[in-house]
Amino acid sequence: MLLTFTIFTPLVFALILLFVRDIKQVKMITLTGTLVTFMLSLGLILPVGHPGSRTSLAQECNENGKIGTLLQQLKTDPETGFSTYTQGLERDVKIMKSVEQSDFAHQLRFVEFVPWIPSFNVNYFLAVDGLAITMILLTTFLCLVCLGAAWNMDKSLDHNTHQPKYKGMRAFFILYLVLEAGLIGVFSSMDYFLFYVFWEVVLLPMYFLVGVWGGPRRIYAAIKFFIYTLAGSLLMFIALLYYYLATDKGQGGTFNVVALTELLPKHFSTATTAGMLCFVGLYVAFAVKVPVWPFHTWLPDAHVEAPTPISMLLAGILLKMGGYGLLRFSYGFMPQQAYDLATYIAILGAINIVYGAYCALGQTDFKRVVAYSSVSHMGYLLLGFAAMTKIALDGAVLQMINHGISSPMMFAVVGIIYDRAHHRDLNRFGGMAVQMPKYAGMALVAFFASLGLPGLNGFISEMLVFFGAFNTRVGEAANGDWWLVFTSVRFWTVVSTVGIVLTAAYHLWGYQRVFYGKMKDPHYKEFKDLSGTEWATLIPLAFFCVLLGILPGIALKYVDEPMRVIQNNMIRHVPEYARLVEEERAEKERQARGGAIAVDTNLTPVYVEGK
Amino acid sequence: MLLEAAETATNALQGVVGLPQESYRALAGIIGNDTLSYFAPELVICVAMLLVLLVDVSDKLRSPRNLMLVALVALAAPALMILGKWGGEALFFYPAWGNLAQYSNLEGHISLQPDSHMLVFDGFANFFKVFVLASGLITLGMIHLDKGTPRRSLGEMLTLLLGSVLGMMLLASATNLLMIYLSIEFMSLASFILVAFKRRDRKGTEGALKYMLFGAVSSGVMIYGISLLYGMAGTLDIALIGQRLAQVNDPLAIAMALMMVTVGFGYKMSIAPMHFWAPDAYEGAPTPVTAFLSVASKAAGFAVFIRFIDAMSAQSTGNALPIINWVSFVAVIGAVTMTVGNLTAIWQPNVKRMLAYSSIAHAGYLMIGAAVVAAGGEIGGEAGARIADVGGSATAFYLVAYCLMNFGAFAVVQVVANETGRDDMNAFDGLFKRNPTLAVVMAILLLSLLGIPPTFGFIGKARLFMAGLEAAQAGYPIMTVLLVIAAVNTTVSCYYYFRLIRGMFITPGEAATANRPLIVSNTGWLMAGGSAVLTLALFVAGSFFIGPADEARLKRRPHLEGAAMPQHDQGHVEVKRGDGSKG
Repeated sequence: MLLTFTIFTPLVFALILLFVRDIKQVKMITLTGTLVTFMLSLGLILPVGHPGSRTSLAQECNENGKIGTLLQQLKTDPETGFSTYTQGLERDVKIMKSVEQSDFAHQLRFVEFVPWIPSFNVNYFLAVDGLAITMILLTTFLCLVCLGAAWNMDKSLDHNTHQPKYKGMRAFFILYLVLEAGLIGVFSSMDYFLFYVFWEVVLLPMYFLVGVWGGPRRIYAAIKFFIYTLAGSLLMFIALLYYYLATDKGQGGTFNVVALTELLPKHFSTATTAGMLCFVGLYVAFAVKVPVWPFHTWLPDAHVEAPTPISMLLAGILLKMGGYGLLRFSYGFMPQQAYDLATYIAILGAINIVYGAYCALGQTDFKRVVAYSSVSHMGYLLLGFAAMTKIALDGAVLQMINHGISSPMMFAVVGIIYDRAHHRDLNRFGGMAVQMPKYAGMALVAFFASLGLPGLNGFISEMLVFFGAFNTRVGEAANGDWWLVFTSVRFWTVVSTVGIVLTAAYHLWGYQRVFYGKMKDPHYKEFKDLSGTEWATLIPLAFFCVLLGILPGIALKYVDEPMRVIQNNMIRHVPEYARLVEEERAEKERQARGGAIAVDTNLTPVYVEGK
Repeated sequence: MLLEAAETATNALQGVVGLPQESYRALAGIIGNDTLSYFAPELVICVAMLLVLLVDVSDKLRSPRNLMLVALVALAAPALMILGKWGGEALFFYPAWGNLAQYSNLEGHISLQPDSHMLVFDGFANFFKVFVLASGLITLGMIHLDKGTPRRSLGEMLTLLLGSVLGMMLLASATNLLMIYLSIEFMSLASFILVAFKRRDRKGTEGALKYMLFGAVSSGVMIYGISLLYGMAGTLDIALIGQRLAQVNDPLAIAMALMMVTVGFGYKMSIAPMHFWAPDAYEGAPTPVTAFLSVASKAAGFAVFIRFIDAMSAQSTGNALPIINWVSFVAVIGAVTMTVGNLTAIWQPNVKRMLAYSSIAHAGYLMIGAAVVAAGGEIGGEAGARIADVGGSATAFYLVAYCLMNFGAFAVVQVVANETGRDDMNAFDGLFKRNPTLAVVMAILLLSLLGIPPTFGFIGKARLFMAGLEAAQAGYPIMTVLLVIAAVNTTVSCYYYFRLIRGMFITPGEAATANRPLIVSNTGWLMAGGSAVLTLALFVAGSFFIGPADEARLKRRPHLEGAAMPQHDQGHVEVKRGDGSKG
């Protein structure tokens, strides 16, 4: 029940807020709500609590387990009358039980399984693996931290009219909590239909949060965000229904992600039009969220117009929904198509990295710079996915986590200066390091974490992605025409390295224009340094920037297993990829016989003596 | 238990309306068979129409309350009769077929000739009848809510409403082109007057005139098509026509005839390009009438259209008709309809007009279901029949969702119009300030119309899309294209639904009224709030209406005795063919 509690706690607190009018109480209740949710989500990793909750799905599927019992009940209950449903569920459970083939089921924890729409085999099926755990923790953590940026929104005055700038803050916090519930739901659903429901539920509060409390062009930005995402997700929806029908062998199809991960790769093992269309449909849905060029244009608008806490959540978690979806669904369900299209994904990743950084370089609006830096950073995800090596996949997921910490911190930094200066024009700042030294220090952490300085978190994940992607042989052509070099993922990795330079350039140049040089406005002399809530927002983020830079293992620990499962899934279902992996292993052995230092797929250097 | 209650109520009601079982049987005996009992719901409405008129002229009884009460009973009783009668095994809509065989050798048809039937009482017809009756009941609530309709002419309005409902019920079970034509005319004539009900209102008169002109033209075209079909097949029974046409070798004449008949249905369903009357009629009509027309009339149109497609395709004959590719035809008009509806809705400054165009777009979405029926018909055999049934029940299911959200949205429009006297977009500005609950209710209903979770409209759309994909998998790639177009259209529709949501939540209202709370009557809450709550509740209980909708199955007559073309008619056919191709 832990997952259900985690999802519905914010909703319960949102309901409570309906009956509270005093803004101070509203804020305290919201804080309590997010704090309780965070505590509950910590239960996913802490070795405390009910021991039964740590059983894996495989155990739950035993006849004595929860799902087995449910199945028995349905079978013996003649009144239910859902015979096809029982058959469908039986099939699903059988698949989930066959864990010797699917270690995916083995790693799923905190299982909850309740029938929802029996005639379509839709279930309220929650479970998490390491990937989902990291994402849920990121969600609950950020929702707690971003509250710091939202804390004084009700007190901030409009620059010109000196009226309160944000009205109706109670509704803001209600929507904020609904958003959190939706986000946790997205990452914990193991039923695709349920996932889709949560996916759409996230959209609505976001529309209002941007549209009501945003900047001058908020309405345009909000509807653009909504339409882009909706267009993508409807394509995903068609693909989702196709999956259901594709798995229908007379007993109804399934939306069960575990069953789909087992059944669909076989269904899509040959290159068919349907498979390609499904992959593209899913890809568009997730690419809009990530966002991948050319679907990225909603992002600068939405990020810039949204109020600071919402920009932080957008960059921190909503973008990760796309990456999560790509890994879990696109790569899980259709590894063959993912392998076939790896080159294109790598090209798009390279475009994202270079183009995003290049755009960021040209912006004068501080927030736009950060927004485009998100586009650039998300490119590493695609590159890592396309490379398909274990290290690159690990790096890509770690990049999701790291960006989820450093990018909100960047937005917080922008928000702090915007609150004081009421503009974000980089060319009109200057000299802030003198006026606000503490702020400059914290901003430095954010900038360098985002830039990828060794010792801070961004460096590790980018390094892992590049390391993995340089070593991949995916997309390499067999024969030797010179232009076929363009089809290899490795080539596009090389191209992407241009992005590193550009990234360093826009970060350093941006920092320089804000913090160094002469103050362009005497007015800046009045600026106060960081306040209590601002410290409360920045310190936890900075802490994790440093911590994950030094000890990336604490996050990688959770990522390792899911990525191994995804890779195994790939090896099992894509013969070409299995051959590549096998050749690579043989190559290593050959090198090792020569007494070289080899690096195995887990990034562990092994020294093997020569014969 | 519910079942027994329904049956008891049915019996009681039969007593009330003066048709006790015995006299009923006697009446049936005079006519010569027992199938009349299946016609009882329609008879109840006929009686009630007269009763309403009588109450209306009596000085003693005449009061809005009495009139409403009679209409309420007149709509609820037939619904209960239909629900109760077929309640032997389950509550909803079991086909009458099996039961009927015991009573008569006519296999459940009220017929004029042995091989040609007028009405059929199958699960499909029952579903749509109950649907229409339920819409009528909701419309009564809307009329109660409406402050604009003159109270002294309430009797006339209710009579016309009942007449329209009667026409729709007949249309839902009509299986004969003559019956179809008569029912369409019956419901249309009643609705023309309903649209023009506010006599001094210029917009209403204009809308009614356009409605009538379009109606006249399209029934003219339709009856020409009917005459061509009769000339070629020598019968008016659509099932027989479907089987006999397979033996007529004149694709052009057949295609012409079928398209002409489709024009008549298309006008009722308000699909492009027969949709031009809809926005004007919807805007001009009193809001309850608009809501009623946009839901019930459309549903009746779809009922008969699906029955017609099903009869005109191969599965009843076993061999494909090489005449008209129904799947492509329906898919294309569906795609055009939803695109036209959505793109035009974007520019509408009036909420009723916007909802009118949105209802056109929804007709386009519903065409997905019709196209699936067509695909099933083309496939033929058991598998084809299954796919056709999936299409039919998906349409039925979506209509339930559509009924709920559309009536709810119109109820909110009515509530706002009661207060402000306006129904343009700006009347909704700042609604959140004036009545937050009402704004949230409207937002839920609009999101349901848009078809995204967590609303019932989403489940309906999922069902429809799934049916479409099933047809696509059975070898109709055009269905995939149609679904993608539908998805793109849904995205487009998001723009105008959100324009209203933006107005309610973001745009500040007019200064004069911005802070004055908007009062909503109890009926208003019941209608608007009730539909919003149901929209959410039925999402959580997602499977609730799936069972009943699955029972909405067409009963087919696979092997008809009169299927072979009568020999002496062959000469006629040749002559007619010459006429047809000239025409």
